[in-house]
Amino acid sequence: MEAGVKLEDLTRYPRLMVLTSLAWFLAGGTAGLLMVLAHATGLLRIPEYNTLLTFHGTVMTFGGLFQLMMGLSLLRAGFCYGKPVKGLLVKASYVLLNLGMLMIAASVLGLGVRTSYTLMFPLPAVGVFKGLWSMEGLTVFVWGVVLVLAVVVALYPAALARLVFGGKTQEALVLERFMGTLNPSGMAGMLPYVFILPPLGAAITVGAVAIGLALVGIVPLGSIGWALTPMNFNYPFWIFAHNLMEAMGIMALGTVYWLIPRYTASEEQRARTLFSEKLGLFAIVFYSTAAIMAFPHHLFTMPTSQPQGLSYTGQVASWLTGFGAAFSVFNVLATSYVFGLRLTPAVLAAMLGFGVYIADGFLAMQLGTIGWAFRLHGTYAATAHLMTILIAVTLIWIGALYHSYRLLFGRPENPKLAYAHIVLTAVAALGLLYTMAFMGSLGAPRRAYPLPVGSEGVAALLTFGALLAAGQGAFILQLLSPKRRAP
Amino acid sequence: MMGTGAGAVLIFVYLTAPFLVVFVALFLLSVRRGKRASAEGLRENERLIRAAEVVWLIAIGLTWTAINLVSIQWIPWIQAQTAVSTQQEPTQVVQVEAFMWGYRLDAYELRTGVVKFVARSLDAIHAFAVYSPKGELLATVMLMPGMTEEIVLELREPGEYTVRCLEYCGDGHSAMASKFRVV
Repeated sequence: MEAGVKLEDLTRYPRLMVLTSLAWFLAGGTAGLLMVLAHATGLLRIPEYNTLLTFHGTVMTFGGLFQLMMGLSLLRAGFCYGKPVKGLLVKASYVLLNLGMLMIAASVLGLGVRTSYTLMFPLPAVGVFKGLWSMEGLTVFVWGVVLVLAVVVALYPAALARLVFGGKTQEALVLERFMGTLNPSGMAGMLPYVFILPPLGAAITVGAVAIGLALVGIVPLGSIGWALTPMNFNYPFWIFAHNLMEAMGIMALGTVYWLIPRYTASEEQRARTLFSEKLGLFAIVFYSTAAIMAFPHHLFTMPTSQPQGLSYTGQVASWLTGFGAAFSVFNVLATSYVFGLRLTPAVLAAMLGFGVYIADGFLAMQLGTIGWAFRLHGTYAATAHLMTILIAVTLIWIGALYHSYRLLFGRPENPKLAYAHIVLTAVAALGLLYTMAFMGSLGAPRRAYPLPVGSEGVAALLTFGALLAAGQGAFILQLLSPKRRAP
Repeated sequence: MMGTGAGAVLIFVYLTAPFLVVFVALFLLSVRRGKRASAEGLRENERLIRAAEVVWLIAIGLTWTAINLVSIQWIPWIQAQTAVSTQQEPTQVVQVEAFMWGYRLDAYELRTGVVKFVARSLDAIHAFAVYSPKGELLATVMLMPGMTEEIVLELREPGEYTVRCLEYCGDGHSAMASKFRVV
């Protein structure tokens, strides 16, 4: 190690982010299990269920998955480009994300705000007028959202861009020589987040800040009427939320492109890259371009208000993302087959996560089909898609986590526990996907408690939910067991 | 049948289950080839893989295109044009108001045939989702406050239809429902 350069400069913040995401995952996962248990037994009152619903969604998505992705992507960029993962942007991303999440958790659990994590604007305001929650609770919630948005839209992409494009490479920190921006294509997967999300998230961030300022009396409420119109709020919201999920998915895809060639068995030099790097890059550019215009599929079911041309564009763009995914399927499988694979927890998690991601992608395209959307939107089929894409992306990042396990925690992983963690998570993800899709076909409304229809699937939800929890239990054992054995 | 929710999920299962089987099989085969790699090296048939690439992309292209073309006939406004042009009687029009947590319809008894629902929300985002007497979800419409949505449905089956909210709208969301009869 060069003088003044420490490995801790690479790992301190990523490790903090990974461990903090685990804490949020545990809290949110417990809420999720309680929700399914409530469907089976009726143990919760409706407001309690809706509190857990809001807590589960926000915590799993932002405190859990987003933070896990943030930590591991910064770590990967750091050790591939040989730059320390530290500085104001990194620190602020960690502190503000978790502060925002704590404020959201406090407003939900302590002050009763229960809007669901998609906000359903104007429900946050209507809830105050109907006496469902207080103005104080809403104010804390909105400022929590503003802090999270600041990290998601500005600070994290800036921190990532700084690692990719700024500063000097310190050779002692280059643990894997995998540099470049467009080549290798595994790095190109980071670029859509860096370049696309900040402009697409800017409008909703400005709207949220304006509402936050009005809530604390800094600007008069009357002056921000433009931000309070449901259509004016929800279009920027869905442009942002849709592309956030897509950018996270594309970054996960780039992670698969990076990980799989690390575990090929062939000694050939070209086995360290994808079967076709050009096809890999093309898939990412194609997927990203199509994904940007796919957002109107969230609003297909407004047949009069949403222009039909926008709906048709949304359908075509949704299906074009499927071509991007198809290119990736071929490339990843061809890389694995041609060069052979060494079985490790990292490669198993990345491959299973990728497989689940692709299977779920087909349901996503069905929801992105106007004719089907009118029969599936708002049902458990939509929940099936959202939950599975988040689990699939998490599973891919779990692959990245096992790849860097020794670097982060100073010891190798226990392979048996790792395989149990990965296989249980993948089986549970698929079980939940098919169960929820089936419930959607019965017309079961999502976010409804008690279920007016579709309760036939609850026993299966409980079973697969328990499997998912068991998988995460194996990971906690993984983290704790060496400590227990320590003298 | 294919245009219903059940049809969509059946197609989903038919396409994704074989995909997952082949995906896992190829992954296991890759691991097996990986074990052989150090002992005897790997041979690849470049032409076979290039052929597989072409076949895969053509299959995807054809399937994707076919589904999109077929799905046009399930779009509610396209179905409405067909239904309105073939029916003899004038279209019935029903005004719907959605609010926390119920619906107000200006008619609760309708004739079989084509019905145009004109719906709006008075407070939060709601849905106007119509279920047939057999429980099939015929269509759902999202109602954003300040906007009015119109949807035309052909209600062929006499009986009791149920209206439900599919957009989360607070504590009464699950119970937000109404019924109307078609005779």
